[in-house]
Amino acid sequence: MRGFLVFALVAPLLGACATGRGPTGPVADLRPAESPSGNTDEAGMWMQTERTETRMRISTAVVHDPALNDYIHGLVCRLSAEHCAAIRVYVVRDPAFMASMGPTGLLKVHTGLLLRMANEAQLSFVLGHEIGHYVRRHSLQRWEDFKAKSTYLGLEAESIAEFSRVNEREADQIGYTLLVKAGYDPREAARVWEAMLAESPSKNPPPTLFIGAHPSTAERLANLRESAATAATTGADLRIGRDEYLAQLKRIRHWLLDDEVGRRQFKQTQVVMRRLIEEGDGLGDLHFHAGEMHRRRGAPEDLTTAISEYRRALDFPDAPPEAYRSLGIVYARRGDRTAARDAFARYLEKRPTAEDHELIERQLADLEAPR
Amino acid sequence: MKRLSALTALALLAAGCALTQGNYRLVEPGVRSIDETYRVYSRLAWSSAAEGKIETWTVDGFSLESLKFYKGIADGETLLPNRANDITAARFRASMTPLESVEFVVDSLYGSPFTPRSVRPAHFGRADGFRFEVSYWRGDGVKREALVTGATVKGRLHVIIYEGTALYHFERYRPDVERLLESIALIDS
Amino acid sequence: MKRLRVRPVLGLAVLATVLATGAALADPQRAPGVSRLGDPRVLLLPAQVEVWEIATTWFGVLKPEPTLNARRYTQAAIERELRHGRVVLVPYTAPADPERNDRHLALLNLHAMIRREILGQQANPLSRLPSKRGRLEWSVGPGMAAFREDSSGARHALLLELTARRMVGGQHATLAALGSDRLIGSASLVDLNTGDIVWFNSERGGSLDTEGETSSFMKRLLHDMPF
Repeated sequence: MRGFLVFALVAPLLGACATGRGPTGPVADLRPAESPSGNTDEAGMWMQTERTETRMRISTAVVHDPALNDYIHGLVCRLSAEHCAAIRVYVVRDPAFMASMGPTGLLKVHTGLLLRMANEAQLSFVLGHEIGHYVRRHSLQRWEDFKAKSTYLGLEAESIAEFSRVNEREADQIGYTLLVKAGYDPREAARVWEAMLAESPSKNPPPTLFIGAHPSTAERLANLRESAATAATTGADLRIGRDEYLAQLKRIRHWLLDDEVGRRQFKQTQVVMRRLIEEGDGLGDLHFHAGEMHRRRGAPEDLTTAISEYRRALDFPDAPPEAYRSLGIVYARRGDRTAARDAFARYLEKRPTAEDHELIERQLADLEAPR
Repeated sequence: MKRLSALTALALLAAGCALTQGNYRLVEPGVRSIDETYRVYSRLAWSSAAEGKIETWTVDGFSLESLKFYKGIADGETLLPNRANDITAARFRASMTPLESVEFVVDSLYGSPFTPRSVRPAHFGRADGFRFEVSYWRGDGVKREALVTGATVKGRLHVIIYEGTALYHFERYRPDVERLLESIALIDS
Repeated sequence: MKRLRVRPVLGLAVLATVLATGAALADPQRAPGVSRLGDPRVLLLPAQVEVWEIATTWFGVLKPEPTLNARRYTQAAIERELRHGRVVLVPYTAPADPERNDRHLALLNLHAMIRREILGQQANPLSRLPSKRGRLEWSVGPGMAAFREDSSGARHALLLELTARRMVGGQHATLAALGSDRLIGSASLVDLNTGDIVWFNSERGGSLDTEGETSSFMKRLLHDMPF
């Protein structure tokens, strides 16, 4: 997406409300159903985005799940009824915590973000942030700013980064405002960033020319908490939407967790898993994936923890049969041939046509052979 | 033939590059030794590039299809040399079962969105190895297919991965690659 | 105000660009065994024509009016050149069915990948694949028959991609002096039964700013087609 300014929510950000001011003067908000015309840079950006969207539609990375797309689009409409008809949602299979909005209303939500949101309110805050970028025309503002500050001598990098942070603070404020207007509990916005800070306490994403600079996570969190503290939350019927959100995620959470473990960022995954286990939904699958995390990290103490997690998982009705497979692998690694054999046999009873059943049958035969 | 721009010719001369030399070598049809561990027979001609323990062959271009030889990954090593200093990267252990070796390759190259299928035992010459297939995509979102085979030989992991665009290139050379895989013969030390 | 100094890097980038793209230009190539094509019907797939404005070496934006003008000029030039060459142009209509349309897009995307491989090898002798032995031997595959099924009668398809880039700001003078204000175009003729690329040409230099300049470029690009 060369030359296309994408606004990605890579880390939390919130600051004082800024007006929609571009480097050459005020930039009017995008009106519903408005599209730019003529030979403007904005019209050019739209043309580029349309080309990007055509490629996105046929991209194998996109998750084709109409129910999930409709649900997320429904949240967008709840937040911004006047703009939602122009916003198209794409769910991208990628375990990064990320969402992005192009200037034409091309909204990408990465599955890593979906895993991390605890409820509808939290996801809605993130969506509202992206709507803020869209309505305030931040792509155009950033492009104009970038052009104004780059010459053949170089870039005014810090100034460009600061302008980007101003945009991010504004989008955060808009996201917060839309959240409150839609009747959600404003405290959930800060909880998004609390969770992010717990996962990556010292890490702020480095600024890039595409994604731009973000204020620190701590700054964003502090500002959101301050805003929520002044909002009316007692006695109000504030929506959180936990059950609705989890019902949507239930169908896909198993592979969201697979992807998260597959990142091999075990410290961060451990934080995510701990929070999900505390929330208590789908504990069989969660303990299985906690086991996978330890098994794949593979230190000697990890294998002991992995076994206990798999056993814990099997106490719950939603434990995947793969827990037996993984137990077989760990027992075999520890030299406990009998336990390994039993575990693999149980797995094959439950998944006789598993994709790897032939290799497991071979391993079972090796384990059963006299030494 | 259209003329080179003067600037380009100067630059090439300055780089000391002969116009007939390139970045890739020709692999003629016939028998080739890989890492002095095994031989393969190819009935196709390929263009080859090597970087460390990875030798890559292609017919049409590396973005379209490739045949990659990962040679002799030792205990404790990562599959990809550029992950060697990454403490989170998966590492090979000589004690891995074929099932674990499959997982090591998938972890190293593909990650979770890409689930291996048809995972089964396979001969790697006379060594007991594994093979599987997987559909995946890279940053460009284009669907690709891969056929992976490997085995641990004398404590080191050897992996051969053939991959290509799902729309055309993977199937185009698959019969030739299958023939090459059948031809694997371990070199006796 | 901290200023990121990129001029030395820019200079190297420019040189690399010129090296990569100003290298030996290839004559139009024909696949082995292709001399004159008997069937003159050619499906004209939508030409990918874009005019970009680049503010730095990293960022660019499409310019809508120059792009739309360039597309009109290109279409007119194609029709003139090919009718002169006795080609019967078959217009393309995208399928109404979304699945079939997406299939077409995926094939065009694959062709774009192949095009990049061919151009990369033409541009830089060091990148040439020795296994190709200098021959034009690439294919998009028999899936290209989808275009035959959806469009009447054509045996071959013509795929064109033209990208014009103009630099703005201080880099303009520097890069223009090095010839890097540039236009690059390619044309492929693809057999719709096999997907084989039977003819390929690339050109650079010139512009799409006027009808005349576009016509001159297209004349060079569509030179020596096998009809």
